[in-house]
Amino acid sequence: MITRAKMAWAAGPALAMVLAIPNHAEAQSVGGVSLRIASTPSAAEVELIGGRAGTTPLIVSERDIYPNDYPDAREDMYGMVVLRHTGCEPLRHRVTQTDIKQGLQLRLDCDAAMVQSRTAAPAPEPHALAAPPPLEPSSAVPQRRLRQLQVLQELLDEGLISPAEEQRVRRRILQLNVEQPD
Amino acid sequence: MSSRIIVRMFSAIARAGAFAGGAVLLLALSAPPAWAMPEFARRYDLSCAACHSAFPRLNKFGEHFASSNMRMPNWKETADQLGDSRLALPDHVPIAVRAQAYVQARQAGAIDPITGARQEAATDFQSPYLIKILSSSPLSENISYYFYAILAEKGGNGETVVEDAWFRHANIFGSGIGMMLGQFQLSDLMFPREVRLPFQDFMAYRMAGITYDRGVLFDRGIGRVSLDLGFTNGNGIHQNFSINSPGFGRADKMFDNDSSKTVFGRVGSDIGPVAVGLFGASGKQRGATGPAGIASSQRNTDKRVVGLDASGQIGTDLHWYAQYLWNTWDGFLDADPARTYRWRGGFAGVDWIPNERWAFSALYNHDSAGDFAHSDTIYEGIAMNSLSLTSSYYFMRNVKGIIEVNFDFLGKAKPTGPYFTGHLNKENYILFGFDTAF
Repeated sequence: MITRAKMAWAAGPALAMVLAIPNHAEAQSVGGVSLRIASTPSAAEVELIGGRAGTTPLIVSERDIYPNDYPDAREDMYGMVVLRHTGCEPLRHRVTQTDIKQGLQLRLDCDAAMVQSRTAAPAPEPHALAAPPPLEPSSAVPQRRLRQLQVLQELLDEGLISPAEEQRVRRRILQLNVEQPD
Repeated sequence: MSSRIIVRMFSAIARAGAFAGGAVLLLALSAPPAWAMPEFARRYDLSCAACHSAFPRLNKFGEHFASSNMRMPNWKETADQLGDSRLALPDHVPIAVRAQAYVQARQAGAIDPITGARQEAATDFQSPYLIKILSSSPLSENISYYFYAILAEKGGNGETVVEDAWFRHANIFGSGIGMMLGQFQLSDLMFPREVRLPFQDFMAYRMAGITYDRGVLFDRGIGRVSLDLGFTNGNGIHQNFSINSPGFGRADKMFDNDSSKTVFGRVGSDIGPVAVGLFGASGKQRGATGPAGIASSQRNTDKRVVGLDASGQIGTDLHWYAQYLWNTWDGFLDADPARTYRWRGGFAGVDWIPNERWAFSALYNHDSAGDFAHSDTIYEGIAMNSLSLTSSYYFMRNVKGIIEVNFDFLGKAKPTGPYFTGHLNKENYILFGFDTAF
């Protein structure tokens, strides 16, 4: 017959392991894996399956990306990072093991967003378009125009805008290029 | 068992326990950061954490992955790009390995039910305990395969056993019905044994004979209800006879031993935060005959199983599950073929996973021999009443050390008839070991 003392003794190693559990903070430091998220431009809002996580640059835990449970309605966000920044296209990225090892450096497409907003919205007044985006160095502007034209061509090639729209926006971009003191 | 043997066994347990506890704690202090790359993780460049809350236990996404034909939507990107739209060869041979090794001290023995002769060993190095070679891959838009072979199951050398081995089509004739053909466990519809955290088994499944079998399984989800319906040979996974034209052998073998098939199914859904399921199986099995019922009878007898399962979680770290089975075996014993034998049993457990390093589990098995009690057959051994406590420490995501203690609460019994049947041995044990997959 097994006495209570024997049972208590036999449970000893298991209980010893229970007592050895590090607290949550310690566990994060010894067992937690994290992902570093950076973006260009920085200060992009980071959304994970659990909701808003902060702004870049940001470090999140692997379990923030791969939680053991989640609401069914958020299933499409499992393993995803979504970045949002004013004036940029939202960016969805599926996190890989390589990302976790190397860190995530994402570049948001702000130029395309600008072109698309111009094609979708009523054409703004020329003087409004002429206002340079804040914080953008003037030396970058010709490159930005070039990129805008490339994106415009891509939109046309993919049939997302009509040739007439493409011509109209192209004229505006080139007009701005002339008017603006690059 | 004499008191001297008990003292000796507990002395062995004490030494093993002290060694195991010390070793795990020592290793825990020197463990490196966790990284793991088993086959699916390699294929999809994903962390093990994407599918496992604590290896091998699946998290919600892992269960979703398993029920989605074991593939991610981008599976084609992981195939060799050969420029042939009708060929999706895996870009590497998809092989993974699982290995376990244990040292164990236990009150256990082999008792001959006829003569009562005993063979006992208080301690045992069960290393290797198990080596599995696993493989799985998507093959087409809807077809995946999965199999594993066990080398050295439970330490046995010189044998290879194939357990899970199946093809699955996810959408038969565009109906939304999935179909699995091959070898699988009927009990996988409830709680898959392969992904449990404790070493101790879900014993009711084994004793009810609803583990491995060969057959076909159809599944369909309708809203929040999952439906499964399957058919199996009903006699396990071993070949039964070779086909011949009397006296002259043919190439094929038959695995079934009769013309009947076992039909089984489950209906599952969520009721609030609790997942519940109702399982049923009906088929035939060979009866038992001979002294102590150790031999298989030539009679086919009816067998029915009804099961109720439930599971859920409390917070994010504590998971619980419970299973109960009601078994009806008509005329099972040749000694009284007119009698219907009923027995029931089940298990319940919790897994607490407080962080990425530790997991703690408790598993309670309780089975009653029912009408087999005092039958003077080995089926008295269905009775169980045990609690297993398990601590798992993850050196890496895919490498863990475990300590498990099993308490047998069932009273030791004396034979009730001429044969040595019943709970003649206590089944307490403690084990320490390693479990890894890569």
